[in-house]
Amino acid sequence: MQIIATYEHSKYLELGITELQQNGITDIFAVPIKKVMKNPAIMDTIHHSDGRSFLDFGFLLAVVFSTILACRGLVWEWGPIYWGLIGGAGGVILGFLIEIVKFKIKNKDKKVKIKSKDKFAEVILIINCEKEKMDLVTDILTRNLVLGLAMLE
Amino acid sequence: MKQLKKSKRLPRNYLGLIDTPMLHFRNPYIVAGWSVTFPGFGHLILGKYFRGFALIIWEGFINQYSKVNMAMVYSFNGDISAAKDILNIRLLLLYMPVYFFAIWDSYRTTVDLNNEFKLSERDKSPLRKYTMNSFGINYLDKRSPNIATLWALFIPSLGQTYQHRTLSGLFTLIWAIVYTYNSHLIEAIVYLILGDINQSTQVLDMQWALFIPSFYFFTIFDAYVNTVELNKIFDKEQKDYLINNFQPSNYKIKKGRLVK
Repeated sequence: MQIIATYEHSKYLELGITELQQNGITDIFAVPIKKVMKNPAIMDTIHHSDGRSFLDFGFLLAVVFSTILACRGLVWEWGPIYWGLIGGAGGVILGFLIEIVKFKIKNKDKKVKIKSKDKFAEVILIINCEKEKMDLVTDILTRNLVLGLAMLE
Repeated sequence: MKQLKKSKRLPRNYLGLIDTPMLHFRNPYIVAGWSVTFPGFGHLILGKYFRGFALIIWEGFINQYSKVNMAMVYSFNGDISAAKDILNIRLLLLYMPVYFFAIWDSYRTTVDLNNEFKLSERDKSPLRKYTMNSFGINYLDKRSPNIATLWALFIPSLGQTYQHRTLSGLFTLIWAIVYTYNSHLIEAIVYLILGDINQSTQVLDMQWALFIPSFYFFTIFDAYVNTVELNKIFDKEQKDYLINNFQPSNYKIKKGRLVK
């Protein structure tokens, strides 16, 4: 019996493997997979980051704009705090748009998503075990947040 | 652990009890840009904490002494003569060399560290996962960049503390409190909430308040970026662990049929 399972990198992966070992299933092979990114996402999440940052420039602009607008705000009606915050938010958004436009010019065919929702199998586990233990293995892996499972015979 | 024993010249991360300095690719222009907004921030991004602290403390002192912030306020509002009047020129010229040094040095160091990172990646330097002794514990963990950003939005420094980067967290917290206290920011915000904009503007001390935008946005940026990078280090460490322990050379993959 061979079970193939896919995982994201997380503590649960190690917890799953060690629990399998405790139950006497030690014939395990692990293949970490390199991610191939097609469409970049603006926001990185716990499991996902594409090494492309759309935010860096925006935060620099935020500092510049909020400083200048806070100064001008002393004279303007809404005061320095509101104008400082407006400048900050405006800077982030403007920097954002500039980065996205730059990216779009370079890569015309690619889409930019706000957040990547798809879960990606970052590790493939291959587990050899006897047929009777199949349910146990499935149970352990499922409790430890496995993404996908396949059984071969 | 076997992998830790391999002696390498430069590790990819150092898991200390109070902080986790690490190497990863950084854009030299962005780092230099942070040094432009506040000398020392570029060095904090790179993990050169004490060089950064020294520059930040110097900037706080010289700016306060020479009233550079007030001069900026007047200049942006077109009142050049008031700007000239408020500047204290006794130490003013000392401001420039350190300011430009900070920008140049952070740029140069980023390029250098990027090269060192390339070397240590090719070298497959080992990564540390746990540090524990009687003073505490630190370990690689997966954290949400959005949660880090959210905490950083409330008070500068909480984002860093969330990542267990206590040294930069504590330092930014102390300065955030000093600036907030002296600029009367909270009072100004309370007046704003009560709807009294004039009173709010009057109570604000702009010389101190002008430090706040750079500090505020820097800590948010730093919290976000470093959470992502710490997560990547976690992934790398786990990958190394799996490759070292779960790839026996005699393993056979069956050519069976899919049952379920």
